[in-house]
Amino acid sequence: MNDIITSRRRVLSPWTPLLGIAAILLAIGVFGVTQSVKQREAKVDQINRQILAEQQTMRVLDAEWAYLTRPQRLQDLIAMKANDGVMPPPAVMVARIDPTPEEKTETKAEAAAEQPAKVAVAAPVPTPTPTPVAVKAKVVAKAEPKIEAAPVKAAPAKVAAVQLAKKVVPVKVATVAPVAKTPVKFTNAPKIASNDYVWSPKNNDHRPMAPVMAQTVSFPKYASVKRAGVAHPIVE
Amino acid sequence: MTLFRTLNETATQIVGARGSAVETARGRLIVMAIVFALVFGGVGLRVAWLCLFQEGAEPRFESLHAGNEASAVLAVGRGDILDRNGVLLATTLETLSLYADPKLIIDAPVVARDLKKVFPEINETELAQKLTSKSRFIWVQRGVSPQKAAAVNALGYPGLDFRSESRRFYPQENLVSHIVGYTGVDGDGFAGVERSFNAALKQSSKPLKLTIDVRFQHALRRAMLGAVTKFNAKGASGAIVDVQSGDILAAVSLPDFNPQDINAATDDQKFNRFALGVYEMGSTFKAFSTAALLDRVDPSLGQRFDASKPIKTGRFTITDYHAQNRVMTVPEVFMYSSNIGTARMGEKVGTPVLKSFLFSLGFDKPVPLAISEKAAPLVPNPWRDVSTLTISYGHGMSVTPLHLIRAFSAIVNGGVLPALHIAYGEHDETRPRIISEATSEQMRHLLRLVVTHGTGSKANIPGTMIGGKTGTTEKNIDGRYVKNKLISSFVATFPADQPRYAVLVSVDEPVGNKESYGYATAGWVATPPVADVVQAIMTLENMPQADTKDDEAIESEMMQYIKLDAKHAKGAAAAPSDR
Repeated sequence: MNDIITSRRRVLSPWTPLLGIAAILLAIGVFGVTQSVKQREAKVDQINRQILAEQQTMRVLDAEWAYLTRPQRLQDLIAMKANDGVMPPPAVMVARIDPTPEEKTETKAEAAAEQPAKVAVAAPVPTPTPTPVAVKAKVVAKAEPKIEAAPVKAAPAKVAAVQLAKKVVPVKVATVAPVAKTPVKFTNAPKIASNDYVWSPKNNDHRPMAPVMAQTVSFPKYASVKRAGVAHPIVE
Repeated sequence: MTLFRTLNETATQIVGARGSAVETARGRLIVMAIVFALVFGGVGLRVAWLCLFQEGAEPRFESLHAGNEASAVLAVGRGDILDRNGVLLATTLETLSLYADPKLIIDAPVVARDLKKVFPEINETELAQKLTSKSRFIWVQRGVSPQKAAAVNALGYPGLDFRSESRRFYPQENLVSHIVGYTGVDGDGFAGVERSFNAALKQSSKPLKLTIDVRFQHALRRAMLGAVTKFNAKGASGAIVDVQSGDILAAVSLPDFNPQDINAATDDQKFNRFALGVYEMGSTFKAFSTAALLDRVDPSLGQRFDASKPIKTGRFTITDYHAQNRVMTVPEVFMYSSNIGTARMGEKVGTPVLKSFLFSLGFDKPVPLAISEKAAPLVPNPWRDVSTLTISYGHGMSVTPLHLIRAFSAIVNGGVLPALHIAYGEHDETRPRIISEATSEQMRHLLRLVVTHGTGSKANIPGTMIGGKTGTTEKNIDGRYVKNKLISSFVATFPADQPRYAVLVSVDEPVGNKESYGYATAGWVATPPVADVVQAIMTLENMPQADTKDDEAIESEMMQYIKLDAKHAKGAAAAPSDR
């Protein structure tokens, strides 16, 4: 019996309450950590859900983009706009230019092939568009003396180039040079900026519509794309 | 441990009969203690496991996994189909479908009237009737756009709700209809790649990339559609193949259909002419019989064949459409597309050699291609000697357009037969050699000759250097050749000195018009679209113009063997009326 009393006394030793308090504190700490982990996990899940919704929206927009840029539609648009006089067809789509004198060696010709922009010539012949000065200067600087003498118009330059050509490099010609300082003006054109394609009201009836999101996205305004995403029911 | 010690200390004080009872109790206690220890230990371990290693056991999205992009990936069901540049050909979108529970609808006519404002296409009276029915579920509208869904929610009527449904969407519409195919209501592929890759597309949401290039596809379809319209044809088939890799860059069958609206498509529209249609390919086959002669029998172009008079064997009489009535060399026979001359060639090659040669080109079995539509060629059985004569100029054996363009690729690419590929990134392990490099070069020169001086002159566009062979056959209907029902084909490669692509256009039942002087033969019908396609490809691929010097070299080589008649002499405007 003495032993038991002794052991009881040991249980009630002054360290016991301290240990108890420590255990309680630890428990509270663990509880706190668990709770904060739970909260963070909830946040992660929420973010994941948001990612999923964004991905869903992206898929819709991808589909819409593919639909609106399908070759048949682009071709129709070009035909339509060309008839309107809004977007005159470029006189030269693909030009062949003699490699410039300093690029006549094999390696430089290859370099030219990699950077076609270097030797680009721009000038749609039948338009009232003034050829941007910057482009003119560029061509003059790069061209051979013969070409230099000629006025910067695509047709004569092309003929001269073909005559001179030994190894020719096909070059895509920009109708509107991005470096142009004076804005390009077309007759009948309402307004054209690079990121906001304005449709003439005359043609709105013919505009091909995407079946899924046609009313949502007025292509390609970014703001309305955003709106489309929010309106999508999966985004909450 | 304290427990055991306490028990032991207590036990020492009791002895005798009572003592044994205490013994028993102590034993039981120990057993119980062990059992409880094990059970609680197990529970404790499980709790520790769940807390430490299962990340708090929060419910997770099943569809989420950390990929290389370290982001969540959306499980979308059926995988997308892309072209070789990543352009979307088919995708699956979640769409909303509006349904109603008539029991909860309060004022059916009003609801119907307001829904009609949102969906102008629905029948208002019919809907009002449905909304008063006793059923608990009716579909109002499937595939509702997000805007309209918002509008319906804004109406605020009880009893209307949405269900999310997966819907296959084909943004390219008709353009790639026969390649991509379509899916049924249950989401299974019914045709094309959707069918042949059904399992893969269903299992993983990873996109399937095809060898198709939509730009090439559009160029080909546009050119073929032009020919079909111009010559009032029944249909057309065509393909563009990379002759080195065997990748199919484009394949078109007209008329085609919109996979988005498959119920509206007729059987004729759904029929895949390039993979399932078997046709006698006519003179285009002369490329193969000539290659057999040059590679297996005699490589000299100067050997002569008597085409002075028609050949009569049994009930057949072989005549020339454009008779020269003289003895001709190999380039002459090929250029004038002489049936008699080619039949003589076939005779010289002999039945066993020609047969095994054509079979080695794959004309004995379906084209190996990962698309479910497959057709076996029609090969004469038994193969008589007269079959050798007729088949050498393309009659008596029917193959699909894909067979033709594949074998043609082997003839021009240096002599090895590629397998055709539709899934991007596939490569042949081995490719059988059909003819030697030297014969392949000879054939390329002969094909170029057809365009510069022969029946394919409408494809002689400066700088393109197309080499090809025309072929016009009368359709064999119930064993009879029908005079005015033609199939006009042109199979070509470019640039002829270093072929990259083969292009085939085959027009079904063209009708001659004023512009073609009533002709509906290949030279008038099938050659111009091929030339258009070639020019489009050269622009798209930034290909340099062909060097005229190479062309002149080929011409001077060929001219040693050729006696030109007035019509085909240089400078004369050749009327490509030949077969």
